Amino acid sequence: MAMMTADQYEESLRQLNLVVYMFGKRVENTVDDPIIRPSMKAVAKTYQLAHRPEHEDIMTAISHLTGKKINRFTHVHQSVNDLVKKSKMGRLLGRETGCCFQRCVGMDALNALSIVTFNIDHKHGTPYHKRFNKYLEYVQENDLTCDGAMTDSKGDRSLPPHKQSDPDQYVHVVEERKDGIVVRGAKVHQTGAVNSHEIIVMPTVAMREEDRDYAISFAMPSDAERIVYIMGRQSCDTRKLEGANIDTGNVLFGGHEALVIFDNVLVPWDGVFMYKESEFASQLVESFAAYHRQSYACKVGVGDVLIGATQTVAEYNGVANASHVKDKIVEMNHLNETLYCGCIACASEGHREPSGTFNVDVLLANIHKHNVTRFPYEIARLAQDVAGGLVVTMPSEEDLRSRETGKWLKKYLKASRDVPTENRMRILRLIENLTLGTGAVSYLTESMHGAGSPQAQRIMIARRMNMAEKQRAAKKLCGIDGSE
Amino acid sequence: MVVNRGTLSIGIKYCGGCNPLYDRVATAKKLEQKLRGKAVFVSPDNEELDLILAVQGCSRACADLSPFQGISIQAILRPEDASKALAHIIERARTGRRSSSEPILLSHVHREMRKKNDDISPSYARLLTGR
Repeated sequence: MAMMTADQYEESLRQLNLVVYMFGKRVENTVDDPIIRPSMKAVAKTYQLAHRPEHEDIMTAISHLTGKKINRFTHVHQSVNDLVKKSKMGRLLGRETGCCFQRCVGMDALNALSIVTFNIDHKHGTPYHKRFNKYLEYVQENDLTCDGAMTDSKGDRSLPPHKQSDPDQYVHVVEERKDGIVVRGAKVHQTGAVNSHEIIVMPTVAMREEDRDYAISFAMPSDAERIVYIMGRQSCDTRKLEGANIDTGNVLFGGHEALVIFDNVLVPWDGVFMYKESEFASQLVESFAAYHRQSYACKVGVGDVLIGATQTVAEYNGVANASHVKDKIVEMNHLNETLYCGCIACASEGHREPSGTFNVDVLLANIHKHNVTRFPYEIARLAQDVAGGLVVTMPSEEDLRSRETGKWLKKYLKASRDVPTENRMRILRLIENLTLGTGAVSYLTESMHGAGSPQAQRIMIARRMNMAEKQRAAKKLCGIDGSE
Repeated sequence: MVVNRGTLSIGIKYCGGCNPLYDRVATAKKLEQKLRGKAVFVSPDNEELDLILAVQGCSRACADLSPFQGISIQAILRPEDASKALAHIIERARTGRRSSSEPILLSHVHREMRKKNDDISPSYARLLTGR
């Protein structure tokens, strides 16, 4: 199978035997569960668009391993152009789904591992890179969705992994066997975990020799024995159970996160890509983080949706020509396109790593993500400003449908003469979704903490800001002795 | 796809559509309707192509045209370009020859493409070009 269709992807998930819990109960069928299904549909979009001629130029790539056309989400970047297309793909899918489509994290894990396995082998003579390429080919040939699992539960943040009172606060090896390693621990905030065929585990912090049991990276099927998923809650999530759809805001798509437990899971050796080489943990973390910070190109696409919704509600309310409203919408565009500049810049300034994989400019990727921790909040504030308070005071769809109350809603929630009240309610609910409902999980808080919280980016910026050159230039221009 | 003699076979190649400034698919469909009987739109992977219609969403014009060296390219960068493309294609269908104003993949375009792909490894370049 070269590339799966959206239907084939959905069917492939039905074949998995995942152990998933939500609201304290086992979810036997995740694909059709009303809370989870919109997130599956968002991933399915990554498959659907790859088959559309009008998007294949971005959505597909040629595998450097096989020469076959593959979904870009399984590609290891072979050029700056590949990196640029990745950013554009993020914007496209963010705009088409209005949410997190979950598949970038696996792509970023694959790319980071393609670099780091090569570097470990170069130093230690290990077989990881060859093993990784075999795995990559398997992922590409079967067009799999991978969950890239990095963030451990971390316990006491002031202590390294080996000093935690509970050793399971970081995923670690508990037994080495002939047929593989046994691992225990948990990964938190796992976006799209139950929509994934595979799970790729990486360490979450830089490590020393004493942490070697924690310096592990591996991949395995998401339904391997003794892996357990506990679904995260989202603001307004149970609206999806109400049957009506206006109140969900985004009536087509959504996202999800899960807590993933590794309860003494056996990982066969052919899926192990790092084993106790603790000095490479930070390289894997930083490489994955840089790619993943670039991936926040998706928020530009979601921003497109929110800006489109804001313009629409301004028109529906009859205020679109007010100068301050126009100016606010210009400001939203300014912020959104500034984000776009960052994700394109870090790709355009990319470079080749010794493995042959192309990596983004790390400083610019961090600048981009740091902007993402701020600008969507301002865009959301402006959206709520323009939309008005009805975003949070509007009665439900049930009230609109009710024989008793529907007539009053249609009368008193009507604004522009030509716009049905229902349409006004729909666009307001979409703004609610993106700024404080299920969509805000990804558009706002995930923008803050996903791929690392703001301080993580500031640390990377501090490391790479090339202060010496800036000081040299300043001293030269003001004639400080010895600077010429 | 079997194409009747006298009917142009036009490979339609879109850019990826990351942030298009107009509806590329609707523009191409309209053009296809107007060319009914004179041309058929086929996949750009088709082996026998008279022309490539490159439908670009913006002036960045990033659709990868590198597989189509030596084939005439008619580009649409905005909806207004469609009428120009229509006239060229009708003329081409009528005469069976390239019109003098019909652009082909020019050397500067080749240079741009090479520049775009300058950074790729020789082995990957061989995979992409089949050479």
